[in-house]
Amino acid sequence: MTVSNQKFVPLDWKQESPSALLDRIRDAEIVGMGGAGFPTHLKFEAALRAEHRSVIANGVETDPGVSADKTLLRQNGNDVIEGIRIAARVLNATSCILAVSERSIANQLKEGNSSDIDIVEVENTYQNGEERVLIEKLMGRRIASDVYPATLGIIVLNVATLFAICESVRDGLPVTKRLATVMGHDQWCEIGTPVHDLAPSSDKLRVGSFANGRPADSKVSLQPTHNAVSIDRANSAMPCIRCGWCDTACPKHLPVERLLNEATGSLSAPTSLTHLNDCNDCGACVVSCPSGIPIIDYIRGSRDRENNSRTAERRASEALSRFEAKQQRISTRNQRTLDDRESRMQQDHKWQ
Amino acid sequence: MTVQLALPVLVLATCGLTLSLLIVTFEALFKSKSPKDDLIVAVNDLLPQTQCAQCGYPGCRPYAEAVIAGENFGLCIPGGEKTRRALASLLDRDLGNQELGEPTSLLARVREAECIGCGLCFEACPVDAIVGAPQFSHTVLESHCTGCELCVPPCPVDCIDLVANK
Repeated sequence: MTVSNQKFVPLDWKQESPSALLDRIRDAEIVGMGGAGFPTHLKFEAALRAEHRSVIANGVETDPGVSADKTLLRQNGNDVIEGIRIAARVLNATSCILAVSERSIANQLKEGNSSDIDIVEVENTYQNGEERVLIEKLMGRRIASDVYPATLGIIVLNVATLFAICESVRDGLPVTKRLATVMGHDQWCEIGTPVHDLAPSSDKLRVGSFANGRPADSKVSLQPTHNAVSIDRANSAMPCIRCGWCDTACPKHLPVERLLNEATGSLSAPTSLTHLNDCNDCGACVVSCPSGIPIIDYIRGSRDRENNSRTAERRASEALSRFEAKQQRISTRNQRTLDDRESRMQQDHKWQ
Repeated sequence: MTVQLALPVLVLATCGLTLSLLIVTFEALFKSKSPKDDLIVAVNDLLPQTQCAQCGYPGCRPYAEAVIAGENFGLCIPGGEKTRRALASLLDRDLGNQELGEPTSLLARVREAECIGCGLCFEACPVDAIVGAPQFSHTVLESHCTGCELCVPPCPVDCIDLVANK
């Protein structure tokens, strides 16, 4: 007997109303599976307030050593395309683009699919899979860093997210597994599996690519946002040789080498929080580093430390101002009581 | 010769006089009230502003004043060893062999089902982190609470817990 893990009623999405489809996406608790983990229904709701809407399916997977999205497109390309159509129906979108980074995938998907979805091949260069970079490549539109693209009606969805949308709407399946690159092999992994059970041979692991993944201890389990489990090279890192390749590699032109040496304590200069907050965790510096230093760990570490100390400072000054306000209030109240008593003493009383 | 020298000497003397006058004026304008006040502010800035009174003084500023007057600078428990060392280096005093532990960040939490709404904790909270109307359940605003423990003793029904702040 097979146990069905069907959780919802399958919907015929061509007949259902867009709002019913959106409700399903919300109930299935679908989040962005490219890494950000942003709730997809909130993204849709933000986009629905815009005038014109377009859907961009992001299959440009340029993380070094990760191929889960490419494999998903090869194996389940038609499901992903159905997901794009569902998203387009929810949004009543004017254009749909599927961006991929390999010609063979583009050719495979173009066969037998009508032309309602533009299948575009994007150069397989790191960072091309980043939301804003991709929008700029595809639409020639540069979006300011403080504007959320969905509010402009441009929805960028990872192909894994679209696959999850398709499965939850068409088949009524919840998101219980995802395709992830585990130590270089793409495999379907149950979400919630401890990552050390996925790759038992190695004791040092990272979730995400080796470039921008986070170190995983034995407590970390696979989340919908984790597209890869890779080996942690941090232990084999050599000392920094001050070559400056990280500075050249940084797409945001941050002084990476200086930030690294400040974090390791070999340079004593005040770390600029602006620089640290500008870093978008792409990990290009890690890829470029000839010594194999996990630079991004240091940058994340000093960012967290700086932010925490600033939070503590802010809380202390707020506590102080509330304390002073309370002291002020109490002294005013006491003074008023005294004044009242004084004025009553001065009054002429009838009984006298 | 003397005429040739006179002009540059005069010009330089005038410049010097004007600049020194400017310096004197600006110092008079922006001078702080007293160096002792500055020191109190500097000490107060290093203290964690929990206003917890665990040092025996009614708040951080009174403690800062006492420290300047000669009180032991190692009494601030929420500041811990870090604050003690910072104070020692600011005041140029001997660290001594006293060791304060690493401070634990705490939050007060009211078990609201048991709260009788007496408002005594509200009175005790130095930073206005407790809200609630009389005879109704009170609660602690987590973002405002400094974990000073001052609300725990006044509570007649012991419904306030201190939990670790994550």
